[in-house]
Amino acid sequence: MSAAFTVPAVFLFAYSGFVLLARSMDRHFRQLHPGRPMPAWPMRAGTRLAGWLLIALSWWVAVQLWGAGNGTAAWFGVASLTAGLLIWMLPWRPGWVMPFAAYGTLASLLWLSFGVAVLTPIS
Amino acid sequence: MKEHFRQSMAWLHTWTGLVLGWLLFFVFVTGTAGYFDTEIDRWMQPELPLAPASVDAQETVRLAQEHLDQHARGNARWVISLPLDRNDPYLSVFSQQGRAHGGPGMHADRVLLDARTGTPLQARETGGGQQLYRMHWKLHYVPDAAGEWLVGLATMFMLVALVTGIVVHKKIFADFFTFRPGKGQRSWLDAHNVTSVISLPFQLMITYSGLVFLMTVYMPMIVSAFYGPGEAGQRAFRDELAARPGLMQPARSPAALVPLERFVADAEIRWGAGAVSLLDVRHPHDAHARVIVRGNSAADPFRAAPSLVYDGVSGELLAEQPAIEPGAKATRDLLLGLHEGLFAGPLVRWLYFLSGVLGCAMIATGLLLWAVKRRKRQARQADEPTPGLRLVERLNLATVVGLPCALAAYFWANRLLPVDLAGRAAWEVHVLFLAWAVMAVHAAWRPTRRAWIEQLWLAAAAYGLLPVLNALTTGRHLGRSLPEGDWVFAGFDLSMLAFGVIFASLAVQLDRRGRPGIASQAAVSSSPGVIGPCAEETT
Repeated sequence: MSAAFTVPAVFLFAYSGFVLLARSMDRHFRQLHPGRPMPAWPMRAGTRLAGWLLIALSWWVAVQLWGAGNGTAAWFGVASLTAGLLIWMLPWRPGWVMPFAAYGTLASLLWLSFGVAVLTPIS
Repeated sequence: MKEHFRQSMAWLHTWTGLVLGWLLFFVFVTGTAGYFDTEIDRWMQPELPLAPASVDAQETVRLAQEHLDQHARGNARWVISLPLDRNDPYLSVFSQQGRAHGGPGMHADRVLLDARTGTPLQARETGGGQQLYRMHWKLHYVPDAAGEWLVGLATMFMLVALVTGIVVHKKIFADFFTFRPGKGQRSWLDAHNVTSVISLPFQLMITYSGLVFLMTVYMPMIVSAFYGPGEAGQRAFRDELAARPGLMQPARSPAALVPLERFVADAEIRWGAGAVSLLDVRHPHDAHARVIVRGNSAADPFRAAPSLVYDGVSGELLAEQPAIEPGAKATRDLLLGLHEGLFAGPLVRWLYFLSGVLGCAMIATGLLLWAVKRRKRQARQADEPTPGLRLVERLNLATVVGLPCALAAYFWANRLLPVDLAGRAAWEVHVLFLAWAVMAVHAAWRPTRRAWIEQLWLAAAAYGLLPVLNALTTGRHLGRSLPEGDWVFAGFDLSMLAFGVIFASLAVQLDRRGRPGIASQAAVSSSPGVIGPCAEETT
């Protein structure tokens, strides 16, 4: 798989995973959705689980792309960058956090599928 | 009991962090720059051509041997490095007189060659990025051993600070995403926590592996116990570590050396084209000549390369060593490989650089937090700041902004010192430390707040104008490097511009915060986690 198709997914899956983790926490939910009541615990637990799954998925894609050693080393850098970006956005641009996660992940997923479709030899 | 333990850890964290923080900041800044060492080398030698994209290894080695036969025929050792990637952008040949294993009395000579013609490349004398990387672990103006021990001591305490920091930080997960700007001391603590936590795996890896690099220096007794005491034991240990089967002492009788490109051809049959990174020839043109062909150790973080040892006269393959050797050595190699990041391509290299920057930010925010906390406490008690606090505040400024200014001065010196100046490379470094001394004097002289703003503006100008200086002194300005796709020059210039913008925006924010009218609220709250250490001084 070509790096051009997979790298955006590594970054955006990690970013969106962190967003979901933050969204499952009181303080950050209020930052993201001021005035909205906190969801009940099953929803929060689900959000948190989805967050961890996305983070794991990001790591898995990185390993597919770069191999276990390089991929894991690179992934820690991706995690630092994306978590840092989210931490910066939460106080300064809270309105951007969710749209960026939703559209970004969707776009990277489509891009990835496009890459798979184009690069998979038709037998 | 539990609280008492945490308090002890907090004390240890606070004081080890403060005492060694300035030195660690230097180590982190120069080390972070080191992730772009060969790129900085190239920028500092603008006379060099674009690095060759790919070369025919056999033809390149033939050209290199032609050069060595002409200029270093009688030498005890030749090393030919092929330009595989950014770690070795140019073909280089290295030759050494005297003992083939180095040691006292040896004289070494390294020349860059044009990979297409074999002619030596001429460029100005400079320390380049290698000089910064060297200072990262050996410092400067001190004997090597002293530098290594000082950096080792600081690294040890860095590890202590990381571990105690984890203990002291009560809510790593609950506060993982928490940054509350505009709340003075609180914001500084948040910034310190956040930069540390999000890059914690990197910081732990880099600190621990930094110690592993020089473990036999810091713990010589372990080697002595198994290999005998003193320098002899150390040498026996090193020889065994780097053992190459089949090597011999020179026979002192001449014999024809098989053309070196044949060994490359044989290795490429085994490993594939483009996999040979280095040829190490012992006693060329001697009856006991040996040729070691090494693969690329920068292919992955395991920092291991396969090698082949040949008889240089008969051409016979004497030994084949696998890339990864089992056990302790592989563990060590992995740690060193992760530390150096030689395997990293452009994207991962930037991530490494960014993690290093986060490390610098972690140390800087920690240092500033120490001062902000005490200034707030002393202001509350309506006391004059103590001399200790004043000293720390000034050292903080001289380090956190003064060192980046000094680094910019190093680049300016590279362009402005006369090209034929004797000892030019040494003078570049003198300029760095002179500039740093000036920044320290300035920090001590001026009122702290003003000094912060002035130094930030100076840093902004020093970095922001580097691309202009580059355009004035070389033909490789952005107008040329960008269209030509010369990413080393374009990347360096654009990065310097970015640093200029960052320093300028810090200066603007700090300046705006101190203006009359908003000064009263600035004392307690202020714009983002920028420089808060001196907001209190305004009133």
